Amino acid sequence: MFKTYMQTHMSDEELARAVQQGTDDAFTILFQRYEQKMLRYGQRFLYSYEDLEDAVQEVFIKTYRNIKSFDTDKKFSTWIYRIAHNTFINVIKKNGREPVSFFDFDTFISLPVRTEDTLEGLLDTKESTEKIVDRMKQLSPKYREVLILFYLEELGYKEIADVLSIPISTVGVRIARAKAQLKKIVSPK
Amino acid sequence: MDEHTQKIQAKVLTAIKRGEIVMRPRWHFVLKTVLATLGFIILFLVLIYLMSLIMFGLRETGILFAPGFGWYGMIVFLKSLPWILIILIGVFLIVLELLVQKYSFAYRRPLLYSAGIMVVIILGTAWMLARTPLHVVMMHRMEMRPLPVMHNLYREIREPVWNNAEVGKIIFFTNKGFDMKNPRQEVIIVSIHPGTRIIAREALQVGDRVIVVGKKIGSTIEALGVRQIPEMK
Repeated sequence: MFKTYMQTHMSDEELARAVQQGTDDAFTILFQRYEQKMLRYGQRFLYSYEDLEDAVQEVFIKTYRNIKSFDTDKKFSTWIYRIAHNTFINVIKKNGREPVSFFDFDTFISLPVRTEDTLEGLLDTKESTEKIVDRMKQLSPKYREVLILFYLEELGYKEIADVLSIPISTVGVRIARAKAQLKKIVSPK
Repeated sequence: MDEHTQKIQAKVLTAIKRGEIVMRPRWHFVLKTVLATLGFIILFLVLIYLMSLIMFGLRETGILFAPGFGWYGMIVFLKSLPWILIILIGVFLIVLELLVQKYSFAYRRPLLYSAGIMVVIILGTAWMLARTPLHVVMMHRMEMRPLPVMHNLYREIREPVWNNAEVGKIIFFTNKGFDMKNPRQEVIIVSIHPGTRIIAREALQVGDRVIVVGKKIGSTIEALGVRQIPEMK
């Protein structure tokens, strides 16, 4: 009965507070709310499904372990995406298939850039979203991730900045550059 | 995907129920934050202290005035800088920036902003600290009761050794220039020629503290420039 109430009436942050106070059922609901999102985010970010399953499992383990460090006045989604980002980056670094730079000059100084709202709109092509997402694999992780978070996970600039721990203006710069690179990949001419 | 999600969910939730995965207590995070804040404060204070020590040293030794004698003076100045301390400050600044970057007020803005603000605060505070009697007192204290690293730092300010520059007090004037005594109590013969640039508020006198930049051979220095070092207020 209480579980049904939690499922329908409680926000992520309220559930997180309940977990902090020892209600493990609240974590089950958070798990159910975020498992597909995490898998989707991970699937688009990581190539190997074996990696993905382990990584997503790791995300939820870290979430549970560190839930008492979560400030319930802030957004839970940003917090869990941040955990996921760190976990996925570690997987990429461990696999060593793609380069992940330690220092990014974009974060040093950057200028605001405006961008389109939809993935199809940004490319002006007839390709489906899934096909475009598939092409994204050719982008470097830092550009691929920012496109996933903005266009597919529909996070705002501020939220992406919090997930990636980068300046808000850098989010705009990265989206613009990622978009330009993706355009080249989709229509090489 | 459903089969996989159920597998992940079952694994994690079972592990939680069995007590294999436990929540870290709140004090763990509080302690982490306290230690990080403490580390930040200590590092910040150390940076201000080291920076003020450099500023004090540059002024106290008089080497700060060397660039006033053109390129030669500039090279002497650059060679005399405490590079180890400067590198150490650079490393500490990077560590400090990494600590600050964990907080949203820092990472939401370009790195240049937070690093720039931090550098300005450190430079400003260090400049003010360098003008207090702190380092003078410390320099005398290190002479009486030396502490391992600190003693060497202050000795380099009290008794600087440079290749093509000397600092000291004029003891008497000669036909060719003047003799002066450096802080190591060595007598240095300063040779002045028509091209020597002399910067002084009034005519040089016995007892004036001066910095001499020029080619040094043994205890003689062919002065390219002589500058009176104003007494610290």
